[in-house]
Amino acid sequence: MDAFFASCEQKTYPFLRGEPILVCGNPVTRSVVAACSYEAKQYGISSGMSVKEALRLCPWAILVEGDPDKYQYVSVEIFGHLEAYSPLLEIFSIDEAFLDVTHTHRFFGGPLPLAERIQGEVEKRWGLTVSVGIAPNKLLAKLASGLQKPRGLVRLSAQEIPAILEVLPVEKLCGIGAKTKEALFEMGILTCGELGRADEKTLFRRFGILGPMLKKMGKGEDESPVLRSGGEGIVKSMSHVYTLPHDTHSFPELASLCLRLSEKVGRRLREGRYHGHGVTLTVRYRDFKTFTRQKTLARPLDDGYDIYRVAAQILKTVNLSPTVRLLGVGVSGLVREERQGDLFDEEKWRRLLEGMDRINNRYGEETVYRAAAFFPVIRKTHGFTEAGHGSF
Amino acid sequence: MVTELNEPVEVEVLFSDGKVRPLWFRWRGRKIEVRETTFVWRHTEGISTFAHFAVTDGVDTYELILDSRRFAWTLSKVETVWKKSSFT
Repeated sequence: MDAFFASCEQKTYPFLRGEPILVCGNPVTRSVVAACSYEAKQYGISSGMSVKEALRLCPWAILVEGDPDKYQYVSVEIFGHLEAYSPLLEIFSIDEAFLDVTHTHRFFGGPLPLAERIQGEVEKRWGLTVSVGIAPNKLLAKLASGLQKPRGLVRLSAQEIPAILEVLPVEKLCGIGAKTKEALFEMGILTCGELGRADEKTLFRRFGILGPMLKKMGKGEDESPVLRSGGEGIVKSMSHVYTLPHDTHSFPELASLCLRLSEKVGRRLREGRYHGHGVTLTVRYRDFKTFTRQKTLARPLDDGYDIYRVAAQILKTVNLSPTVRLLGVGVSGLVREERQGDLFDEEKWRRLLEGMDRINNRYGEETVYRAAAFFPVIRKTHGFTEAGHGSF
Repeated sequence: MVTELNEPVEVEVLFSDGKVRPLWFRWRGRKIEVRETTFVWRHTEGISTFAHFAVTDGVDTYELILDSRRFAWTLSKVETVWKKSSFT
C-alpha cells in the first residue's frame, strides 16, 4: 500500500488530502515519523525520522496521531481480499505482502490484468492506492513494487533483469541496509551487477554465511518460497518497543516499562502458543545510538514476568548515564507447545496467567496487570493498546 | 483542529447490503446530516467490537463509534477545518 498510514488518514479526514502530513505517536510529546504522505516526502521526509527533524524540513507539515486500530483493521481486510486470488499470501508487514499467483493468474487473464484488478478493487473499496511489482521471485517483486510509486505497476521480465541489476545501487535491494551498504562500498561494490560478480570467498570472509547470499541477491536470485502467513515456521520472534514521552535514566522507570513490555510480549506468546529461548533488550539513547543485547536461555519462556527478569538483568548492565528515549523487549527462538517444566508452583502460576489472559480477553488489554508495571510517568496512551513493532 | 468528545449521540442509520450507513445524528441540539462516510474501521476490546465511522457534513469531519454489543453510539471526535495548524 502506498504511504499506508498517511493515506488512511487522508481518506478519513478530507481536509488532509493534498497536504504534507506526518503520522506519528502522540504529537504533544515527541516521537518519530511512522509514515508520511507523498506531499511530505517531497521535502525529504521519510519514515523513522524524528518529528523534530521532519518539521525542520517542512515546518507547515500537519502532525496526525497514528491510529493503529484503524491501520490493522484495514490491513487485515485488504490482505483477506487478496486471498481470493491465491492462497499463497505471505504478509511481509502491515502494508506489504507477497502473493504467489503462479498457479492462479491464468484464471484472471494473466499477471498484469490481475494486478490491475487488485489495484482497482483496493482503490474503489478502500480508497487507497497500491503499487504492485511482478517478478519471478520475492526479492525482485519487492524491488519492482518500489520502482514506480504511487500506483505503480512494474513487471520485471527475465530478459530485462540483468540490465536493470547491472546499474542498480545495492541498497535498493530489500535486506541491504546502511551497514551492509557501507561495508560493500568499502569493498568497491556499488551496484548489484558488481555484487553479483564479486568473489564469493571474499564476500564470505567479510560477511560470513551471508556473503554467498549477498552474491545471489546481486544476481537477482532468491529461492525463498512465498509462505502462507500463519503457517509453521513463520514467526521467529516477537517484540514490543516504546518511545518514552521524555528522555530518562531512571532505572525504576525503565524497569517498570520493561515489565510492561515483557508482559505484552508474554501475552502474545501465549496467544500463539509459543515459547522463546532468547530474550533481547533494546535501548536507544537520546542521540539515537542503539544498544541491543540478547540472552539465550536453556528453558523456553512465555511468562511476561520471567521475560522481564531476564530483560531486567540485561538492563542492569546497561550504561544509563546518557538518557534513554526508547526501550524494547523481544523474545526469539520461538517454539510451539513446549511447556516450562521446572517450577515448583508452575501450575499455580499457569492458572494465574490463564486467569489474567481470560480477563484481558474479555474486557480488553491491560484490564489487569502486575502492580509493579504501574509507573505514573508511563500513561496508558492510544498506541499502548496496540500489539506490534514500532513506537506506540 | 481535532477535539476529543466521547459524547453519546443519537444516530439514524440505513442498513443496506450488509452495511451500516449513518444518515444523520443529533449533537448538542443540532441535527447534522451526513454527506459522506469517508472511512470505516473496527477495533475490539475484549469481547466488545466497536465500529468507527468517519463522516463529514461537507465541512467538518466527525468520528462516530457504534458499540455493537450495547448498540450505543458515541461521537468520539470532531475535526473542524477552520484552523488546520491547531491539529498539532
